[in-house]
Parts: sequence; C-alpha cells; structure tokens
Amino acid sequence: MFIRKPGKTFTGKRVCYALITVLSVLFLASTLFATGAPEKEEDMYDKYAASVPQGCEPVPRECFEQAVAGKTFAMYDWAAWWPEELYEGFSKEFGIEIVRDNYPDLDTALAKFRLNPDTPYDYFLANPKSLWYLREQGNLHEVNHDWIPNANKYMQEEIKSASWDPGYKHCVLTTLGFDAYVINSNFIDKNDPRIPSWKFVFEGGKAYQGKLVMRNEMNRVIGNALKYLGYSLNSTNEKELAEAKKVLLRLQPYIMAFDSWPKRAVLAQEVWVVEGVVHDYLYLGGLIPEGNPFIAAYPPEGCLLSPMLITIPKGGGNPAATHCFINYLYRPENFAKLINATAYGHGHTAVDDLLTEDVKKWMVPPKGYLKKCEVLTPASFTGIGEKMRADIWKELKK
Amino acid sequence: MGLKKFFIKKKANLSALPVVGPLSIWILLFVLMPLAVIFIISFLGRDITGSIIPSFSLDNYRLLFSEGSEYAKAILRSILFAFATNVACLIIGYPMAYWIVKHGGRFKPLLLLLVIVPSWSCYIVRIYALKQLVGYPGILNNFFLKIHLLASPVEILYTAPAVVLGLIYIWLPFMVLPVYASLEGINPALLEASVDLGATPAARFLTVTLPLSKGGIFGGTILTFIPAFGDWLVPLLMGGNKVWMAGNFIAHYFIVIGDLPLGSSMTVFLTAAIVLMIYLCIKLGGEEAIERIL
Amino acid sequence: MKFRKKGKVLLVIAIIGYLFLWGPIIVLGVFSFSSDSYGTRWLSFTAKWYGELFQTSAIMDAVIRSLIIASVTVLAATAIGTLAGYGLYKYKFSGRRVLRTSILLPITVPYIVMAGALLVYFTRVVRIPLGYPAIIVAHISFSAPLAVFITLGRMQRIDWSLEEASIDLGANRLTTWIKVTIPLLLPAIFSSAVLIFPWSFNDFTITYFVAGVGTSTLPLYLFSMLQYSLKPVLINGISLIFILLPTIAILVISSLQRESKKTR
Repeated sequence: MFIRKPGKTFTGKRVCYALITVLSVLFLASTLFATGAPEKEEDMYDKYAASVPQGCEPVPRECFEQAVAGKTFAMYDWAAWWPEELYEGFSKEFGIEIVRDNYPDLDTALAKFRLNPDTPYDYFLANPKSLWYLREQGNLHEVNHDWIPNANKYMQEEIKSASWDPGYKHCVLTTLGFDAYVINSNFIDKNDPRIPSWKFVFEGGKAYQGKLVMRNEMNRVIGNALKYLGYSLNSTNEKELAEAKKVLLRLQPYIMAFDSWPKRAVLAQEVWVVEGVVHDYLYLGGLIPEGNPFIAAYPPEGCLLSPMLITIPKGGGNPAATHCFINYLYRPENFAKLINATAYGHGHTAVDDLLTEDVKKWMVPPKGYLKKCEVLTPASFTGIGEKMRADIWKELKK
Repeated sequence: MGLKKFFIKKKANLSALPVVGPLSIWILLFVLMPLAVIFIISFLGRDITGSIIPSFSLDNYRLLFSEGSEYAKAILRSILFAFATNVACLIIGYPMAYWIVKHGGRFKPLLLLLVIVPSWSCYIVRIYALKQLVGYPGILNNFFLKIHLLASPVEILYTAPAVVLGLIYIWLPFMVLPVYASLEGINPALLEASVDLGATPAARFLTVTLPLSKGGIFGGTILTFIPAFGDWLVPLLMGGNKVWMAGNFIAHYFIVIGDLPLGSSMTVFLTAAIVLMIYLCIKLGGEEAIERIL
Repeated sequence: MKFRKKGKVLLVIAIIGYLFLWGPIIVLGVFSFSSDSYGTRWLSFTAKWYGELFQTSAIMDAVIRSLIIASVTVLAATAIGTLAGYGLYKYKFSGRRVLRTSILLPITVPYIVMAGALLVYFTRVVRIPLGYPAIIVAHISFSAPLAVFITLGRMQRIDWSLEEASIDLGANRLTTWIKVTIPLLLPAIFSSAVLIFPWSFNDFTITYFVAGVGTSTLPLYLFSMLQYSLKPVLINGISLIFILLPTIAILVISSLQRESKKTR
C-alpha cells in the first residue's frame, strides 16, 4: 500500500512501465513453455513389449497405440503421496506426458465432479463414496480387463469380488487403508487393557487427557462409533445411530480437534491418540530418529477400510492410458515402490518379498482382520443414512 | 469537498460509460449472474446422486427454518465471532493507524507495507504457522513456561477464542488501511483550531479526530466484519472444526453432502444478511465508508 | 506529561500489532532452515529444503502457472478497476449507488459460495472453458473491486486542478487522460497491483473449483501436499520466498524513486 502524503506527486511512471513490461514478458515466456510434443515411431510397441520384465505382460497393441496417440494422460490424485518415480517411469516408458492435478480431499474432488460431470480427467484416484456417485451418474468408463493383464494376474481374488465394486467393473484397487487408531507410546501406557479395542478411544478420555484427534469426516467418525457399539458402520437403524450420537456427545469434550491433516500436531506431540489411517503414522514415526513412538491399534470390533481406487471418468480423452498405467503399476517391482513409500495395505500377490522389513512390520494387521472391516456403502452416504449422520455431525459442532 | 462537487456532472452522463462500463458489465456477468444462478438453484430439488432436479419448491427454505435451527445458531455464532473480530481489529488497528499517521514520518509507506506484507502468503499457510505459534506444546507456550511466566500451559488452540484469534490475524490489515486513509485525510487545520479553542488532547481526539475518521472505521468494518462473518477455513483449522460458523454449514452441504439446493438456500440467506450489513455500514458511516475502504 | 504517556501506549499497541502480524511469518521463516522435514521443531541449520524446492518440478510448474494467472489478472483488473474508480468519483450517473454496492459483493460473499456458483455458471450457462480462461475471469471479477476502492480513496487526495487546466488549455479528453490523469493515478494503480497480485497468486477456493486439467496453481498444490507430504517444510520455504521477493522488489523500487526525485 503506497499511500503518500497528499500533495506529493508520484514520479514512478518509469517504474510502472517497467513492471508492466516485466509482467507481460513473463506471461509470453511462460506460454512458450506450453508448446512442443515428441514425435512417434512405428515399431514403438515392439520395443515396449520387449522391455517389459519377466513375469509381467505388456498391454495389448491396440491399447498401447491408443494411449500413445492420446499424447497426454490427465491424472487427478493426492500430491506428494506416491513416489514421483512411478509417474516419471511411466511417462518415460510410454512416451506419454503426464498432466497431474491434485485435490485437497476427496469430498472436494467429488464436489467438482458433481458440479461439472465432464471434468476431463483420464484417471481419478477415488474412494468408495466417489466411486459410487460417479458410477451412478453414469460417469465412469468400465475397466477393460483385456488391457490390464498384470492386474488380472497379480490381484488377490477376494479383492476382485470386493463389495465396493460389484462385478469388478469400474475400478482397480491400489492401496488399502485401515482407519483405526494410533497411540503415542511416549505418553500413553501401551499396556492399558482397553487397547487395542475402540473402548480406549471412546471410554479412555481421562487416560489421554483429551488429546485425541479424529478425522474431519462425518462418515468415518460416526462409523467407528457404531463399530465400537458393535453395529455395522453403515447402519441406518435409528436406535443404533441414536446410541452412536450419545457416545459421541459423551466423547466430545475429549476431542481436541476434527482434523484431516493432523500430522503436524501428532509430530509436535500436541495429540497422543489419533483416529485415522494407521499406516500414515507408522510411516511417519519411522522417520523419527529417536525411535518410532507410534503403536497401531487394530480394534477387535473392526474398523473402517479405506481403499483407494483407480477410476476412469468419462470426461477424459485417453482412457487407454489409464489402462497402461494400471498395468504398469501392477508390475511387482512398481507396486513394491508404492507400498514401500506409503506402508499401506494392498491386494497384490507378488509384492511381499520386495518390501522393506519396516514396511512389512507396519503393514500387516492381525491375521483375518480384513474380515472384520467394512467399507462405506451408499447406505451411509445417501438418503436417510446420510441425513441422520449429518444431524449428529451438526450436533457435534457447537 | 467543494472541488468534488464541482467535478460531479449531471445525472446519466454518457461520458461515464466508457470508464465505468467495463466493470459494470463484468460485475453483472461474472458476479451477479452466478449469484442469480445460486438463487434459482435454491428453489430446486435434487435426486439421490445429488443431481439437481428442475422442480420448483420452497422445501429448502422450510428445512432451513424448521429443522435447521442449528444453522440459525451458527449464524448467530458467526455474528458474535465477527463482531468480536471487528472490535479487536479496531482496538489494535486504530491505534496502529493513528501511530503511523502521527509518528511514521517519512517511514509511513514502509510501515504500511509492513502491515500488508504478511497477507501476501497463502491464507492456509499463515494459519498453519499461527497454530505452530500458539499451540501446546507450541513456541509461545514453551517459551513462557521456560521463563516461568506461565505456571501451566495456555491451551487455547481448537477453542472458540482460537477461531477469533485466527480471524483477527487474517483481517487486521484490512482495518488498519482504511482507518489510516481516513486519518491521513484529516485537515490539520481543524486540529489546530480545536487547540486554539482550548480543547484538551482527549477532548480533541473525541470531538475532532474520532468523528472525522468515522468513514475509515466503517470502511474497516466492511472489510473485517463481513469477511469474518462468511469465513469457514479459520474455524476448520484453528477451531479444530469443533465450532461451526455459517460458512462451514454451506461448505458442508456444498462439498460433503453435495446438496446444492439446500446449500444454496443457506447461501441466499447469508448473502442477504451480508447485503443488509453493508447497507447498515453505509447508513451509519456515510458515503465515506465505501470511498475510504482501502 | 500526559500526552507523552499516551504516545507510549500508542507505540506499545503498534508494536504488539506488528508482532502479531509478523510472529507466525517469522516462525515459518526460521523453521524453513531447520533440518526437521516437518518444520515443527529446531534440529540443526540447513538450507537444503530450498535446493529441494527448486528441484521439485511439480512445485516449480505450479509457481509458473500461478505467476501467469496473477500477471494477467493484475493487468486486466487494475485497468478496469481504476477506470471504474475514476468514473465513480467523477461522474454522477443513474445506477451509481447500485454499482458501488454491488462491487462490494465479490469481496464479501464467502468464497466457497462464489466458487460453486461460478463453476455451475461457467459449465452450464456461459460455457467458459475451465482452466486459464475461467480462473482469470473469476480472479478479475474478485480483484477489480479492490482497484476501485483504492482508486476512490486515492482520488480524494489528488489535486484535480491540473486536469482542469489541461482541458481549459484546449487539450482533448484522450490527451488529458494520457498526459495528466494517468500520471496522477499512478500511485493508485501501483497500490492496486501490489494488492491484487498476492490476492490472485494465493487464492485457493475459487481457483480450485474453476481450474481445468493441468492448471493447478501453487496454493492448490500446497493444500493437497498438506495431507500426505512427508516434507511440509517445503511449504515454509516457498511461503517465505513469496513474502520476501515482492517486499524486496517494492523496497528497491521505492528507493529508486526517492533517488530519482533527489537527482532531479
């Protein structure tokens, strides 16, 4: 703000002209960057097919050629989560330029697709809720299974019949997150008999002195309260939800925050108990030089399972490239890169030997635990189920 | 003022068209029309996937008033928070502006620059930094505990006062600037005259300076109260999303639930409240409230 | 005696105000040099994050996009905003009051509302392609009012007799504009640019909704990064750069001005 004394005249004419010139030059220069594309050759497919490592298969020629003809591949996912080398490797191998945008959270991403169904991405890393909405609106391409031989080969059979995508038509699983809770053993007695049950979170307010952070997501928080009570995460039973509401209102004074980005607070040890995807914190704790203080608790009552799913929105112009990417990702060595960098669960059959010891340790929930977990279904995020949850959520926001 | 009147020409002057035309068209096309779209949507319905159904109904407004008592409470809470923000900004901002005008000397532009520069970094990053400062264990708490000025930590983060603190932090510069502009515009001869008439410094401030800076105060109010009223990111980040303001409701229905019509009806209500408040500011602060806004 | 005490109170409040505004920024800056990748505690001094920043192509691309958008917005919004501010001050016309009140709407209606409204409007009503065109159009409508208000405030402190004289001496309107009015308005134009540029550069909500493929700006990237990134300290670094660079630029420009005034 350059407010000068009245009466004084301003003589920065030159300066302003200079500023304007600089800005326009900047603009012109930057538009130049946006042009230029690499040329293609005929036998590229054979070269690519020959380069695919043993035990893996290339995508069919048709898929490859369509993808390469499309030139760019528009991705929509999280920033700074998956290792960059995965994207770079893909771009190099296929000669396809990746255009990547990132969303701040999945609800906001979904809001964009709802307001503008033609949002032109070839690849959208979705959760079951966004998958359901996009599918119901007829906004998703079906996955062409002939084009993803590696996924067919390496994906666990039970994943193919998973409940979030009946018939395994519209998505391909990448990572599996367990939305349980984590304690900081520097502050919390890890021998507390209530751990790892949800009882510790919902009844142990005094033990953790109100230093609890829960995800800022209605369905997850209410869902886990229902789990604590022994009900289904996706319950639409009025009585059960009323009980969950009572539990949450009782817990409310002990909740420090609803925060979807609590890592700063966790590391600063502002919070001692976090309800969220446990792998994130185990991985985070692994980076602390004094030793990992975080202990994952997988409640025997079960918890919310958050799969991240590759979907192919119809607005995009290069669905073949998405298939190429899926096929590329499902190569064991590539998939191992992903899991080693995130420590998330997965459904890949040939990746275990390639994981680091730490990641192996963090990733594995108790045997058979997967069966106790549930995925969010439309029952909880549409219609009456959603309305009842929204009403509880509003009550918590005083 | 006389000069100003001299220059203001007759009504419906066509020569005003080339200068105010572009902005008027722009505002009409890209502000008023989109808001009109929201107004229309607020009367429509939606299906189970959240797609809008073109069927006229007043359901959304009925929901807003019958079942939406939480929303009414959130509006009241927003008014309270925005009012607290506004008053605090005035209490800190007015003396700041006054001090710059009085003692700034040739450093005035620099001092004003120092007020505005912090708002050059991304909103969310600043709040993130503020959290680091006031949290527990945070920098301030650790420091004051170490030098034994505090016996026990002040755990303010994730409470309603923290929300107000965040709002003050974001909007304070926008109180200082208009107040500065109006203080700077006061004719020193008026102050001298009051001294000649034997007024004490306090009386001089109350009878001359304060009334003459009224426009700046109301201009600052427009720029602090109203944005604070519609804010939703500060309650989300500073308040740990435990205390909802009106904006949070709208964001929740727009983004999480995807109920555009209901969200729109909330929006229409909020926008109407905002327009009413702007009107009040102009009524109370005079034309100057707008002209001295920055 | 009493007066001096009052002066001291003023000084104390001013200092508190400045500390309050700058404290978090200083924290950001200091921790950007800590080797802790979360930027939350002090381990040891390092400048490596700055090196990493310039090597992260996603961040650099986003910075370039943000610069393009902010530059165009500044040029267009300052132009139409200054013109309108001039018109609002000089002319009385029907609809003046309405215009003046409605330009307050963009800066006061919650962004989340305008963002949703603009996205629906752009995609279903006027069909402006999402991406650069939509972002820039949205940014202009939100920042032009700032220029209007700055111009209005500035114009009251301008001695208009020069313009009057120019017309009296027979210069036509256009010449008067170029030779007299624009130079008189330059400080306002400059202030507008200084205020609008960071506004446009840092906007998140509106940009997010109207952005197209491959037009993610810096704030969009930073927001998404907060979720998973293991190096949020990069955010500290980039924020500090974009506070310091413009400040230094402005200080240099204003000191150059002072120099040129002296030599005249």
